[in-house]
Amino acid sequence: MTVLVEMDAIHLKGDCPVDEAEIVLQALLANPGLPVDWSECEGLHTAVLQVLMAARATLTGSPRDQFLRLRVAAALSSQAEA
Amino acid sequence: MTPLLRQFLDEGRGLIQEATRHLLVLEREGESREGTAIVFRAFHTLKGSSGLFEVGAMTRMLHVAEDLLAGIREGRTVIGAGLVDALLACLDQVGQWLDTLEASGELPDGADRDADSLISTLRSAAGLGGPAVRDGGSPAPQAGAADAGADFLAAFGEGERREALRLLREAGPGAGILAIRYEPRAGCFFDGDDPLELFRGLPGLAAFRIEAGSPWPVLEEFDPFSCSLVFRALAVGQEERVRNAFRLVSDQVRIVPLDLEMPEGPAVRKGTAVADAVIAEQVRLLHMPGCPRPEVAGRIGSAAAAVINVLLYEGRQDDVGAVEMAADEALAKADPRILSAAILRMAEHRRAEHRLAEGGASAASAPLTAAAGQDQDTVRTGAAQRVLRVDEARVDHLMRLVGEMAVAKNGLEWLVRSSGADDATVRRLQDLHGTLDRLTREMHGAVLRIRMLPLRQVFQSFPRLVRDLSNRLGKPVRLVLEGEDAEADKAIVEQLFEPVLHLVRNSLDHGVEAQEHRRTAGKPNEATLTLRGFQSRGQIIVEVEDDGRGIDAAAIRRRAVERGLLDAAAAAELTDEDAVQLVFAPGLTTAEAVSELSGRGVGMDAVRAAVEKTGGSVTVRSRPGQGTTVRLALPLTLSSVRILTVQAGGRRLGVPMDVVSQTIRLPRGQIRRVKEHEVFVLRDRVIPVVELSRLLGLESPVRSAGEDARLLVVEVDGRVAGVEVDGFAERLDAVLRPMDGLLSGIHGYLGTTLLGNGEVLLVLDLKEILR
Repeated sequence: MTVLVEMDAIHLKGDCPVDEAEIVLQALLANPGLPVDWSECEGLHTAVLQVLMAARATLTGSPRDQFLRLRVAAALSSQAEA
Repeated sequence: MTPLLRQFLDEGRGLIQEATRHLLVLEREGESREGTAIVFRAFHTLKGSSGLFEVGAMTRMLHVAEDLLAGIREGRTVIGAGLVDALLACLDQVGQWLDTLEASGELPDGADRDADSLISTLRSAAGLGGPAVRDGGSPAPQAGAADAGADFLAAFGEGERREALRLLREAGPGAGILAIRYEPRAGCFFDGDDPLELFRGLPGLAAFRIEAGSPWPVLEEFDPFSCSLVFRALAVGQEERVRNAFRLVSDQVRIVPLDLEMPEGPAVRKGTAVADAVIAEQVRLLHMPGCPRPEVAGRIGSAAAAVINVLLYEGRQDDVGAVEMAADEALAKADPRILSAAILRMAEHRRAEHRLAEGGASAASAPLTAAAGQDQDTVRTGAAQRVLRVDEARVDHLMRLVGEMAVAKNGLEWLVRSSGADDATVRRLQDLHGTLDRLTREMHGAVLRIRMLPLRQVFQSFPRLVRDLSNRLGKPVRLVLEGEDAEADKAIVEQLFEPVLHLVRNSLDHGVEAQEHRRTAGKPNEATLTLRGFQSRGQIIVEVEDDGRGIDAAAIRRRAVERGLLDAAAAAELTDEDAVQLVFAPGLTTAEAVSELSGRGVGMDAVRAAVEKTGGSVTVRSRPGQGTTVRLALPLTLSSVRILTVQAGGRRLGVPMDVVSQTIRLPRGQIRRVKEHEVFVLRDRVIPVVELSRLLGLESPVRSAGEDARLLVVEVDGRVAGVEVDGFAERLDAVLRPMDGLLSGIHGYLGTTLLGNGEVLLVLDLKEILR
């Protein structure tokens, strides 16, 4: 189980493979506006990322994974500005 | 002087040297693809970085030179002595200009005239003729690819472009800036693609953006398994490698090499009011109270990004690392104040520098001289991956220190035993020594691991190479790569490419049969070439295996006899297995014709030489009609051993320092005879003396009573002995090569090492000798 819906946020933990895109989408649909905490996320499939983008989810926390923290986060913030 | 100009001057002089050296090689040894590429690269980088300064004449001239070199590289222009002269004159001119630039901050008055004259020299030397064409102050961008790249580039901000240029300056020869636009197919997830992963593994990523291909639908109607993203990136590296990373989705990706022209204007810009305001605003935002916790990270991230953009805009790459690091720490501790403190520190530094810049050159030069060496050895904290780029010399230095520590630790052990302290103290000291021993070992291992690289570094160039070769030869080949993750020392991995390339060429050229022969032999049309890497018994093994015709042992014997390598009788005595090893002998090749790719009789010989240089070995196994496997076995590390050289029996020998606890000179009178043994007393301990020359069966010199004895106090397996030598010489760090060939049967030696004067030093295995 790597997608946990809690009171404060939807938590992404560990590796989030392609099949979790649907789970994340359902979680976001059921909890509009709830931020997504990805601090424990270690890997993010493009499909999951796309769901986060489409939902304009607010990401919180800072993943330990360098690529996610530095590259993906920056790529997303430039999208938000656009 | 600004740090960036300082960097340009240093770097520029280095590039001039490099280009000069390789131009001379080109002239002497004829044109080579690598040589031309290096020279092109040097001119290209010179031109690119000159664009950051107001040196239009220099940029213009270098641009023409670069175009000519591109022509040479593409075979449009032939390099001749005249052109080499003109290019060298160009470099001389740039050198002079750099001097002027350093002294006065601008080019001399006649620079444009000089540039025009050199441009026309260049053109006529290249046989282009025609008058020098001035195309205004700024050079036209490269035609073709760069034009196509222009709209690719438009997507990226100036900060991102500068980052790319910065990476380019750090990158090795052959690297370029590539714009990547990747629009995955909608159904790509069903094909198992994960586009994000491709970028994760991409080296030299300078800028990265993810965008929606079309406006997002309402979430209820969103199909999570249909991809509608567009990825844009700038990457710095070799085009081939970048293309290779995207080879499986090549139909969905466009990769365009860019000739990134930098915007005009001084590189380090003065702090503008806008930039000041941006920085101040970030500090204000970071200090604003009442930020909801979930938003802290976002606030830190956007403040850091804004400040970094300002820094990049101003050309202050050197400050970026500190801000990035502070942002990371702030994120980790969810404390924006860490970042704001770092920004304020940086801003203070920045203001001070602007004040200095305005106060004139003399005031500015002093505090900034430190910037000069920074390009070479700054520990760069890149934005892409948190990878430290460290000067190799620093790691080597660390390695030497670990070696010294091992020696000091050995001394401690000796002291503990001979100290005469009470048992409890000795035990405690021994525990401490044990800990030190373990730590030293672990440190040694850790330092070695810093230098480890996966074989992927070597293997990844081969898919493209094999493809090209296979097309050229008309032999379909399937390349199988195995064990790309096996690691070895950087120096070893880097030295593998050439030999493996030779072997691959050989296999495709001679090993793999022409298609019709394969058909008659009942083999599949497509040949299989396997590159395999693994570690085994402290060595890194690389095998190049083909399923071709194998090596004809009889033909090898015949050729060896013809070439006078062996007489017929000796050749006949060789087993087939031994006979095929002769392919590594100098000047022996079984190829019937000298082909375009290999077969000049130097290939296999060169492979052996390259591998043996690192202390490795190479063997070949041939299954006639079924294929050939060449196995390279190299040491995992080129780690150096601290060695003391000594004289014994009229010879110079090496002794590894790690078994020597100390060296002493002793009046001969203190060596006594007890029964058959000579002994001496050291710190209340009786220690036997053995003479090294006698141990080795060498002649021992006559010793006069008045002469001091020179002893190595050596500890082996808990026993201490004094080994008498005739003299001590210098200490050195040496890379040991194992004993091989004729020497492999001799015991008592660890290996050999080459001294600076070319002499071979035998290094003793004292442990084995004293046992």
